[in-house]
Amino acid sequence: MKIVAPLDNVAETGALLKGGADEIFCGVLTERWQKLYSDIIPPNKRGMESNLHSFAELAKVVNIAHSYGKKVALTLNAPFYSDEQVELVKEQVSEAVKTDVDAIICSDPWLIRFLQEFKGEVHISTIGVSLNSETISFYKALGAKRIILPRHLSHDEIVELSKKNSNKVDLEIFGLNESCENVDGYCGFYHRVDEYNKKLFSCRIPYDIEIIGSKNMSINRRIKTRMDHIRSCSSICGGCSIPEFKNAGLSFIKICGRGMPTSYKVKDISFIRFVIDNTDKITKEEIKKKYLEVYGRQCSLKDCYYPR
Amino acid sequence: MEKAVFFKDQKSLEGKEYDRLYYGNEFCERLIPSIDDIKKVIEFVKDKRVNFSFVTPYVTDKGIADLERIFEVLKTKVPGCEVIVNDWGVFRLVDRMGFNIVIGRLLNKQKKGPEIMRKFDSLSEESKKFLQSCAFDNGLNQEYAVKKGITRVELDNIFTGISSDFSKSGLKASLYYPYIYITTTRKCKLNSCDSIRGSQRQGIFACKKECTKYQFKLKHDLMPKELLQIGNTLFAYNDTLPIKLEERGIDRLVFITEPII
Repeated sequence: MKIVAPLDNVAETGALLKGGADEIFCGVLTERWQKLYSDIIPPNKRGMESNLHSFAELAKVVNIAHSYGKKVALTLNAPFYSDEQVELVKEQVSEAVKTDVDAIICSDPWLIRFLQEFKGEVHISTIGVSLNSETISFYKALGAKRIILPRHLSHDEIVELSKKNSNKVDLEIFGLNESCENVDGYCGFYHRVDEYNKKLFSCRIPYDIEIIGSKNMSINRRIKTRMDHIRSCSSICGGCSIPEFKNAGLSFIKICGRGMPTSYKVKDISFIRFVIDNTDKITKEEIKKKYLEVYGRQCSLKDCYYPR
Repeated sequence: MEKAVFFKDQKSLEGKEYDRLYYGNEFCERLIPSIDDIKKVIEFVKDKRVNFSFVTPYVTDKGIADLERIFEVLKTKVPGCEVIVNDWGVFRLVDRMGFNIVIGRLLNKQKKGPEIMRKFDSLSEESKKFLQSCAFDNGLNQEYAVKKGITRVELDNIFTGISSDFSKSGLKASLYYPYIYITTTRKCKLNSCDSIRGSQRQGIFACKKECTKYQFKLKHDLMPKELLQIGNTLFAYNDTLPIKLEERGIDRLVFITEPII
């Protein structure tokens, strides 16, 4: 099982790789794209602070990674690109190819087809919403080498899907950080409309809730408590599920966290590395103990990626 | 302009005019109609002598198996009927079974959140155009759709307006109104929402279909429109239709009687 780690800038490349990352994923948001579409419509779901700013920077990251014998994937995983954006995206692919990048992460059907000529690998983003074996076969037929499974599959569904598909394509799952409460690939909310929205995503706004269809005050209070509880869930860790995922044949584990400080990323990599390297001999309790040791807090159901 | 109604029960059709009926579910595999219910709807549709479109949700392998059984019934009872697909796996299944394939509003992606209206007027022309477009606005996706035998794509009546033009694409388009779906989840907020145990967990669990009992309105100053939490999906209401739809190949209006989950 390999660790796929997030990267925001050239300077942190060495630290992530030395820390134990097997692959790196990152995006490029050029000045030209930013000028045309601003932060609201990035080419890869992240703003300036979480992206490299040029393909020259990507080339440096790729060079460093290759010197460690590690791979780099470029995210071009906007939910869709409009007709007007197609040429711009094609230019980005062409620039990326020159850097010798190893993979492109995407989901828009035209782009997957366009990449059939690309010598590297095509990874289907979580935005591609591969919830079932048929969808995995659909993307495989288009040329996908790897599928990043959505956050919205349960532990058991992931294990079942992996057992059915172990020989078809590589499967990657989320291991740490940034769980979305909505299905990413079917979500129409924005994240970067203005300063408010950057700090408080629309799914996290403390809405006034009016309950239709129930006049039972005690149930209504309970429902509101539940809504507040869900809003405060951060779903940061899937560590306990890793041993079973590994046994089921899953090959890659993604650590989210573009935009987070390098030290956090290195800490995350060290935690996941510990779990992966000890899957055969470690218990869930020991994983939880390690979590407490690394993060200084007890893990809880509230923070669990794959609760059972 | 073809008039379609996406309905939940026959009562909701009272007083409505329509050439086509939509029936099914877009958002939850646990709410895929039973074969008995579908057979009743098919009889009703035949009795009314209107066209029929069966709507499907995004699904896991369990949902794929459920839909496969339904498609066998549809193949016999309404051969060549339309199937609205909202999952590429379902598309693959439908493609093998010879139905008329329509790309639903979940696969024909659009940006939808009403929060963009706080900023829309100040955006660049390029950004505005993008926010009025959709995944199948793109010529290369249109080309792929036509090649795969897809006949139609569907759109939501988003607040930013619609700039897409399908008139030369080989595809037709439908516009859903007045309920726009904004976002959807499998970590359903309504799951166990009325039990003490339920209030303490989040994730994907078995449910008692609490969504059939409770609905919510969500309001906040940061959200320019009221949102409706119906089951696992958030909706917003917009009954203002864009103009010159038919000129742009949007030749079907799909009226949603109520947010259907």
